[in-house]
Amino acid sequence: MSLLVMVIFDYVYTSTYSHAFPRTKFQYLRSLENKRIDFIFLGSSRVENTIVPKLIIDKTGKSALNLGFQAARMSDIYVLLKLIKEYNIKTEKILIQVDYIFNIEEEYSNLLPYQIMPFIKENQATKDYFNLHFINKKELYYIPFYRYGIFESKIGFREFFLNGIHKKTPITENYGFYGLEGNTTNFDESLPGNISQGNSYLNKIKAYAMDNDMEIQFFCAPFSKKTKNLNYIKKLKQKIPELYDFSQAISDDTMFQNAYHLNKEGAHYFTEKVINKMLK
Amino acid sequence: MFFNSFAFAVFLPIVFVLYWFVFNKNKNTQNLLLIVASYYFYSCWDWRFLFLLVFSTFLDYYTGIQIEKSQKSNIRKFWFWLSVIVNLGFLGIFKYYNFFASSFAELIQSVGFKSSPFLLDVVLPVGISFYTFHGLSYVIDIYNSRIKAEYNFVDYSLFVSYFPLLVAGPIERATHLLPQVKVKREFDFEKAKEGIYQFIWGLLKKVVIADTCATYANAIFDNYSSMNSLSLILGAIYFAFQIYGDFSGYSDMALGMSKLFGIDLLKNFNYPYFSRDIAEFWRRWHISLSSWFKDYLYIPLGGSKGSKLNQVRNVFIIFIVSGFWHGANWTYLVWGFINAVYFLPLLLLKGNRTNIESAVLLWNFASFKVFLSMLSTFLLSCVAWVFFRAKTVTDAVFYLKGIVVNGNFTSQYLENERYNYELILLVLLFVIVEWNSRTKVEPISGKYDKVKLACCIAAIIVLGTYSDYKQFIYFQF
Repeated sequence: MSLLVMVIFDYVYTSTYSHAFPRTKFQYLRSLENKRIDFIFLGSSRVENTIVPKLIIDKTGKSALNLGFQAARMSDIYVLLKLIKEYNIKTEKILIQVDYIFNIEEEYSNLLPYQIMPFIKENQATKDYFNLHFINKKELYYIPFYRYGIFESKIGFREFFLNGIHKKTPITENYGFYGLEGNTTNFDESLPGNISQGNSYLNKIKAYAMDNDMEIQFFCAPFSKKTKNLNYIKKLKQKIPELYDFSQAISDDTMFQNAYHLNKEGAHYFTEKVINKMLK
Repeated sequence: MFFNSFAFAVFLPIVFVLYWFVFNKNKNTQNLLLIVASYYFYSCWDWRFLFLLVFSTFLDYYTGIQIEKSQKSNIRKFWFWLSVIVNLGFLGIFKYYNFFASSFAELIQSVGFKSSPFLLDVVLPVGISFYTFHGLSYVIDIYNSRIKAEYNFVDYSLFVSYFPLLVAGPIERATHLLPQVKVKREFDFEKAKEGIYQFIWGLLKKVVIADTCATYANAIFDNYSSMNSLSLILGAIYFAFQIYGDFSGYSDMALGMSKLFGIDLLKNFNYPYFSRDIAEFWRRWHISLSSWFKDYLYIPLGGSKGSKLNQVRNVFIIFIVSGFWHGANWTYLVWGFINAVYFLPLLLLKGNRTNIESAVLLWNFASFKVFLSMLSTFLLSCVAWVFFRAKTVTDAVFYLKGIVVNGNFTSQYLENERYNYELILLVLLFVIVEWNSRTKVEPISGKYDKVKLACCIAAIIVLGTYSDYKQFIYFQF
């Protein structure tokens, strides 16, 4: 009886998430199946808070999407690339932000896993993502409704209810951009002193893009000039020679919310630079 | 093992069944079972700190007897100070050493000297502030001849380590708890029912109110420099309800489960957000700590007697020490200082005992004034909570400055993927329920109790937060 209830709940929750108006970026990505988005930006919060798709649409007349995820790592970017292919989204160019995440192999975004969780059985890319990060938690995959109970603060009843009533978020309205306000006083951040030999996901990303005829370009978003060890990006450029280095493109700290993230004003200013350098 | 964890949901029924059906022969067997359960409960955090708990128990037990037995006053004094110094010494090493060492180093560096302080790499033992204060009050009371020393080690051990109050209080007094553990407890169905209702209400406050507010408060406080005025105001309010739900929820759960074992604990909260001034607030918030400081610090300092200057000094001492009790950080000190400043006008105008009776609201002007005084007291407490929650005093100042200078009162989408205003309705509903039940221990008992119980359980299942914020805020103190 309990199992039957769990199966029914699992079905109701999953189908509600599947048919809801997109509230998360992942749902938004799914909703673009078989559509064309000319420019897609992938990366961490340094993309999410930095690239303004509306401005790109206005300036170039082409479509754009910001698919930056908070604390996304190269492994997340690799999965997102596969998802773009899986949902048959046509692109002109995919722009990938790389910085100190080059040094990180094991970690993953703190939001993407929850957003994917209702759809883990949907396609090979989501299944791969699950196997990559939750290989020791198979019960999330096999026990009906279990994942909704375990991650209830993210995909539990409240989120289910908000999906059910089609409550909107600014995700679709801003095409994935989340602007930051103001300035902080704390610019005391430091990039790593040393750079890794390589990043296996970077190689996978390049290989996957080549195999699937996707045009990708790497870039590094700006850091505040007060950030320590900015020399790290020079080392990164040696590892990725084709990298567009914008790390010191903005010297005015009033455009930064903090050492690693631009505020709204800075994001608009920087997006113009990206349009001129990379999208024309 | 947290009260809101699956492990505890297994632990509590097992102890309950053993207590009433296996170890119910006499009070000794009952007490022994509760001690074993309490030590197991404590060892679930870190078994290595059990020695500290046992040592603290033994120290106060032994010094208490020696103080009582000693005929000469200097020998009494020796045992008394031995207990005080060792107890506070442990607290000082584990809780305050790093703070003082790093603050001293910063001071040295600020005048141009080089300094690299030796810091201890130790975890703060859970509940150390609570069981230390337990033991201290016991020893002080014996020294002042208010109580007799306890000669039964098992009974005394249970007084210190009783698991419902072990890690976050309420801070019990020997005069209240020891007489209860010295007699065999008989099962009382009505008391057990009261206990279950109070436990369920406490759980609801923790997992539905506090932990939900936490997701919003954290998203706002952690990114305060990017928040607009409305978000910052709501962030402070959400945190006020987070800490209230968290700590009073814990206390309700502790008091409720203790009733299941036939033992009453001291009331720790009395609807503090319905206070009409800050003095009333402190008579209703964390009552067991406030009364501890009043009895063992404020009154010995002279209390409200003596010159005005002395009274003001005593108020500042008690609030700042109370702030420092919460943690070794300047933010807690400032939080205590702000509360002392709030209290000062009441002291000087002799208004600190005006609001003793419970407030009643009617549809008239007098009630409107009462409502405004409650609202202003709540808002003042929210300002102080900003310092309590912020990582540094600078962060707190900028947080409050942001409220004033930003001037934007629109909705804002937060990092937790929610709008800033989405929780207002839940908080308002909670306030209404609390207001309607302010003369009772919890809102479930009384008319339609079964329906209300079912609603609470449904809310806990459907709206509860279990994956994040399991820990209770006061466990770190």
